[in-house]
Amino acid sequence: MPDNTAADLNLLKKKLRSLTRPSGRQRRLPCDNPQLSEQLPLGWPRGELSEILFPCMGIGEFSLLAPALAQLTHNNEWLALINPPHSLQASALQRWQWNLQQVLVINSAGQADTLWAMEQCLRAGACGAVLSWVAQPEDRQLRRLQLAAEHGGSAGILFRPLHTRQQRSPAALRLCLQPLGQRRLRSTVIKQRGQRGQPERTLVI
Amino acid sequence: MSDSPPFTDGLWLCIHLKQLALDAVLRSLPLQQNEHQRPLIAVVDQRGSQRWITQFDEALKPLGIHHGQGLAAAYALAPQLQTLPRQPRAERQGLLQVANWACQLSSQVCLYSPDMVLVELSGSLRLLGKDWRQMIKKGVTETGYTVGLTAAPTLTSARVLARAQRYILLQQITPLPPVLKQLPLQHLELSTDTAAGLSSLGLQSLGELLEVPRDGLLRRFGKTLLTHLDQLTGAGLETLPVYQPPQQFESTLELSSEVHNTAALIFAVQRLLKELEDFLRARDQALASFELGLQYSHGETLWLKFGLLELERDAQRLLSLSQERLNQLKLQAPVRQIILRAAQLFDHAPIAADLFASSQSLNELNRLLERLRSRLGEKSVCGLSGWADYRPEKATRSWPVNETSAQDITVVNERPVWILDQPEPLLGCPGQIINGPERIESGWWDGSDIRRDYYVVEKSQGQRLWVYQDCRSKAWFKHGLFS
Repeated sequence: MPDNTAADLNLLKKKLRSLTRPSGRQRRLPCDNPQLSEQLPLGWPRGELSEILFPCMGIGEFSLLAPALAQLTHNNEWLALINPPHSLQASALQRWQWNLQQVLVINSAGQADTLWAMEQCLRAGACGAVLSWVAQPEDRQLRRLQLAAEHGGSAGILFRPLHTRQQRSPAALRLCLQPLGQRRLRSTVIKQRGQRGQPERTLVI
Repeated sequence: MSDSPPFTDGLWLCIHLKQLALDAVLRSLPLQQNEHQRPLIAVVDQRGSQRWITQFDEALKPLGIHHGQGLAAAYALAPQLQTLPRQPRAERQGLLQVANWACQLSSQVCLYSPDMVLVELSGSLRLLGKDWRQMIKKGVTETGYTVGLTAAPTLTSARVLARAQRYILLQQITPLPPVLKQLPLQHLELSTDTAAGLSSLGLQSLGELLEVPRDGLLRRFGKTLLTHLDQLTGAGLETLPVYQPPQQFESTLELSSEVHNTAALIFAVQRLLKELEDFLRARDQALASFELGLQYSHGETLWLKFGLLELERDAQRLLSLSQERLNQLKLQAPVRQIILRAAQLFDHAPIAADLFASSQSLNELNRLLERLRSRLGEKSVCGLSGWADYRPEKATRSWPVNETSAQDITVVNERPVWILDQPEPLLGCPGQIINGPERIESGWWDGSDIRRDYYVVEKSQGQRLWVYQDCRSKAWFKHGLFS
């Protein structure tokens, strides 16, 4: 029956995809910042959830990731920003060398929808990286995100307030940022899985 | 196939929906009543004031319930019985549904009301393969109807055998096989007068009838009987109008009891979507959009529209989209009826070259975007592009994904990543000025003109802000965040 043939073909495609994916994609996103590279020698992890914990917006928390994400968009991979806290300025992203054709902005109302959208994007595996700003996800929700990232192979990145560092988290990487003024940040790795770097560094951005 | 017998005379398959009246009624029952714990059901037919039982659950047979029984007698035998009236509209719809499904088997499909679909198969046997009977049986059963299959060389013989519940494959009709010779006359398509006349002659089976001299039959019963017999044995030709499947899909499912929660609706929607998939497969088509209508008990209908990013016909995928939307829905009133409509149908062209990565990931992305839009709304997903406008609040535009409208822009000065939708008033300059002022004066042509001096400011906590002083009011505002 044609139905069976289609099913067989799908199975074959799936196998081929699983074989081609690891080589087609880099396993990690290199971080361009020299001090940060000492902390993350292998770069930002893919197929995992990472958390960036910071005290207030505007200290340079986003620009730390910008070079890695720029490279992603130029590899024709999609970048999904889920419910960003303010409007994004295209010219600033272009200064970061982002290819805006590969950027998706997903607006959702409420934390439940935001987490849902992030999980969907991570699980689908269609995006290279998925970023979101969610203050207080529950343990269970974080675990779901981590599993979804493992399933889809995307880099999941959560921006969260610093005071949530006490909460347990299944994320593979947890990075705390403290501003020191004059474009300098103290960066502390409080959890890291799969690589070992310097736990604390001062970053110049 | 070399081992399949030659069907030079043609082969007509009769798809007999043997308990269509019962199935049509069962279809509209809500989910929880549909399986084991539902009451025993008998369907009641009515003419004038006379009512009798036509079809019923198998479990009622040992209790003595039979076709044509009066209601009082039936209740006396089985007090737990639940009777429901026939639903002629649903029955007709069921027949059409099976006919639509059967269109994938052959181009010659005919309807024979009330409960038979006939399909000419001799041309398609090679394509269908060895197990075609099991395959067809499975296919029809999946549409939700109980089926019996008879295949015979002529239309009439297939019908007559199916009506007698002889679900067999008859390959030759000349000489007349025993199963037809012994067939009781009540299963033939005869008028009541003819049937009574034949039985008064003492004739009981088809074999006996065919031995009676033809001119005698012609004199006594007229030409109709002979024509019928000729068509049965293949001596005469019978034609039925070929069924033309509709150009667009619309199907309705009436719920026999009102449904209050969306979870219960999904079961019904699944059925309709399966029907839609069969319809599309039979015509080798796919759809770009569909509509789901929920008719409330007060008559109003809520229409949910679904747009797809690529042509689709897989019921499972359409279901997951519908589910996403239905789960979010708050029903204003109980739902009586569900309508599924698809008007934009296209020829299905499977993408041949999507075996490897690039277009595969585009497919994945499209599916993802569909899911997101389905739950968060059509406008929830957008892309970004720069726009040549000096006013920072107008220098970024969002556009629906899959439409490109980028403008190349070059802004020399540093701009913050985040722009506040509403500038926040400040008491004064909030920190140390790193850069500025940059005068932005623009927009006199569209009524929202601005004249501002912008500064990059670093606060004591290390936050970098983009602030401005309005040149007219001298007030300070926070407008952006460098990140």
